[in-house]
Amino acid sequence: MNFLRAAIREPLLHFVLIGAVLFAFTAWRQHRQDAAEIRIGSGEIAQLAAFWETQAQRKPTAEELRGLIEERIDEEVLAREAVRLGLDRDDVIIRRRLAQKMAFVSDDLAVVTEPAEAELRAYFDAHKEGYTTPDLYALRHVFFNPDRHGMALDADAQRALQRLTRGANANDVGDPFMLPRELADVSRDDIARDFGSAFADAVTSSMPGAWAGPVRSPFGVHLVKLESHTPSSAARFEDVRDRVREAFLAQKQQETNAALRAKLRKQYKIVVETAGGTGS
Amino acid sequence: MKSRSLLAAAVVAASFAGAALAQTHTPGYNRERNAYFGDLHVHTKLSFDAYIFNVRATPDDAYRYAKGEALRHPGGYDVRLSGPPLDFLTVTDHSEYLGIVPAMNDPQHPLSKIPYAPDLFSTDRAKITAAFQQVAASLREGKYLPELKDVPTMRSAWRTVTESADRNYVPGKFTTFRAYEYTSAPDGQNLHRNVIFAGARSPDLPFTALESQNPEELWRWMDQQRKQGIEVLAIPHNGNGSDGRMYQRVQWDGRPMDRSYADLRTRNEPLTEITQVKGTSETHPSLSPNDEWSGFEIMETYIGSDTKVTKFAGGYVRDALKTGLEFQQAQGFNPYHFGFVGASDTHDAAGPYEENRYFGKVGLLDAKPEQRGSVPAAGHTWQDNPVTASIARYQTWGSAGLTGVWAEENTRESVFAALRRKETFATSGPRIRVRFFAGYELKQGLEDQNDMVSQSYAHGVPMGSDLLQKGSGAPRFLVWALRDPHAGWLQRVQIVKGWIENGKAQERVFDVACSDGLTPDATTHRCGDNGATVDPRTCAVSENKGAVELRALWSDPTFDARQRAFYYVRVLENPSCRWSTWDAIRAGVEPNPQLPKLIQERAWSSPIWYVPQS
Repeated sequence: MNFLRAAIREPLLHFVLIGAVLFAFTAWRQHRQDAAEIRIGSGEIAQLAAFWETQAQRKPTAEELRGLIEERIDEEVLAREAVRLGLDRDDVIIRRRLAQKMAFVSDDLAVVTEPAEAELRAYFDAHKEGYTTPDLYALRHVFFNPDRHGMALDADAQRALQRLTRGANANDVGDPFMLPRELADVSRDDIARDFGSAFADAVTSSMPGAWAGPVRSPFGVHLVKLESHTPSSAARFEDVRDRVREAFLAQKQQETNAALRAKLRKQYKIVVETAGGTGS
Repeated sequence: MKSRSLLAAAVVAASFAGAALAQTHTPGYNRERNAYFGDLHVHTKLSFDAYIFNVRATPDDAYRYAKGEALRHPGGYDVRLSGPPLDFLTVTDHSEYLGIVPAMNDPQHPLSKIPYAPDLFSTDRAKITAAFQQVAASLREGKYLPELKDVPTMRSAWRTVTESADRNYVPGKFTTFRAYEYTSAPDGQNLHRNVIFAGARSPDLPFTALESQNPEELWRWMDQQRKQGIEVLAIPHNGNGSDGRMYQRVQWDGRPMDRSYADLRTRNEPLTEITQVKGTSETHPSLSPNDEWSGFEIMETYIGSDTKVTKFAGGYVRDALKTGLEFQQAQGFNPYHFGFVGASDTHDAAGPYEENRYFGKVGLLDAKPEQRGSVPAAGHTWQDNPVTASIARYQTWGSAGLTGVWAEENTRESVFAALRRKETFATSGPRIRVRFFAGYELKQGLEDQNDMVSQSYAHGVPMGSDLLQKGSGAPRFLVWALRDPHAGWLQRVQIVKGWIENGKAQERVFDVACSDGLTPDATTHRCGDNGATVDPRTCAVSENKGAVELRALWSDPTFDARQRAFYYVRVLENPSCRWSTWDAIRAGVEPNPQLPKLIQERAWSSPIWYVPQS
């Protein structure tokens, strides 16, 4: 009792109490004035109606439309309250959606300007290997079908090789074959796609100008003659400028996006707790 | 200064001359034509359904995959061609709501504010399905959902498609075409078409099924394009899902067909797709009871639903060719005078052409073996495995097909010209090459000559052509098939004949070349069994069975010079494992007992029509 009486007379308590009442009053007034607005605009109402129409196959009545709007308001209120209570914080779907939204915004900001000619040339010089033409080959071959020669396949091919070496016309040797018997300006990969890798390797490493073989392919055996081999050559900038520009722009866009993300990261102290301890 | 600019002009002129020279022929040019392989039917994220299936690959990605690069599948794994790159590819996204669904998922885009937009991308399957059905229903009815008709977005997506096609075209190496899919499905009956433009010009926006579901309107629009110098053709697909409507005997509105209808149709549709993932539309066992190979990858439902097809006549291409003969005979015009192509119709931007590397075609929906009925769900066996409607559908799908064209070089001009003249063939996936000629001057022994192709071009007609009657004798047919070096061996080559007898179209299948030293029986016209086997536990095939190539110079033993007829080639490989068997082996389970364990891969040439001169 004595304690209570003493407390009532305590000026500090008066000060605190008056302060609390004043604070509550201003907070209440503030709330009344700033009550967050929920505005359902005419555009959105039209959209709600259009959506309703596609489902019901007719326009909503005035009452139905009122119902749609009421529902929309409830949705907005609940969503905002959920945010106020922090319900959005541990939700992976909401977080991803936000990140995605931000990525859209930031990627739009990162506009890449048209590169200067010198920039393109520098890029070309640094990436020359991507613009070289591969080694190109010209070759002839004749084919021996295993279904026709059976056990004599290799012997028949050997005999034909001797005929060719003595100068026989290649058109008179071997079996008909559906793929071309002469190939010009083809790369090793071009040969491999139609005849398999083993065949391509054998042909491209054989001695130019002489008939060789037998060489196996998934079709059967072949005798081959490498006619010419043009070593790979670097492209001229002028011939590939468009491709260079495209690659350059793609790389710039990536870099700009990455830089923007790095800049945003700098605004945070990032701590990653790994199993072994804390690292950053 | 003056001399320098003169010099510059000379250099420019020289380089132009060089370019012009280079453009006459690209490397690999072959007067006797090369076989090029490609896929004319590929969807990317710009298709409303593909995006919902979680596919995020772009048209550029589709071309990258075709050129041999790896692509990340929505299921979280990489896919890549195991064989060589493709020679050509067209991206054919659904023109209806082109690019709209991706925009709905872009928070910055006004379309994302549509109330059901979030449902499309939710993790709740029921919500996705409900939202998806809205769009699907709009396509069935052929009416725009007004809130989704955002023309600027569709125009910009179409620009993405066309620019990507132009950018990825490498003359001599890799051909692309500007293209799209016209997605007409009145009452769910499939009348889809792929529309392919010849060059680097195309209209601002495609003509879609939301403008009209009536393909005749599409053809008239294509005629308009042609008048403006934009060459274009259309290729229908999945007649098997049309419930008899794709190749029906009347016009769209039920009126009888007439010559102008047939002209309109054949002018715009020189080709049809005979095979793809959603089944093969060559023929149905009920239509071809005497064809032992007719039951190949048959799909008996509508597209994207469980509705059963009840009418097979009018849905399959052999039947359509026969219908065409009957019209020609009775009324003097033929609405079904077309060649064949094969395709994937993948919605993953990547086609599953190989049985042992199958990954489905609808993104997340059939990404795993459990989802496509080749492996039972976890904790289940085949005896108690719950079969959902989608599993029941996906398990009947086959792996993708390919188109082969005979073209001088791998350029837009040359490949498009081959499509136009129907010098095309289709395969069930392997790159089997097939030549087919007919003529009266093809000499005995031609099939053993090294120059048989140039002789055949000089003295005969290739696949896709008409052979006009010459005298009362029988013409000869040269058939030549070569195996895919990366796939199986050939078992037999057949010629499928359709002809008119007493006003009615008939059909018959003749084996004309057999592997392993066998010959066709003179009365049954069948090759004997070559004894090729497959071990269903490992999919290993028997060694030394089957042929590298098969060749024949054939005359029709039943030929009657007065009877109108068509002939096309079917090449059969030895049996091999179906994709579902490969899936099961990898998972260490028994293959699904409801599914065939083995298939016979195959190729089909475009027909040659014999035309009697009365």
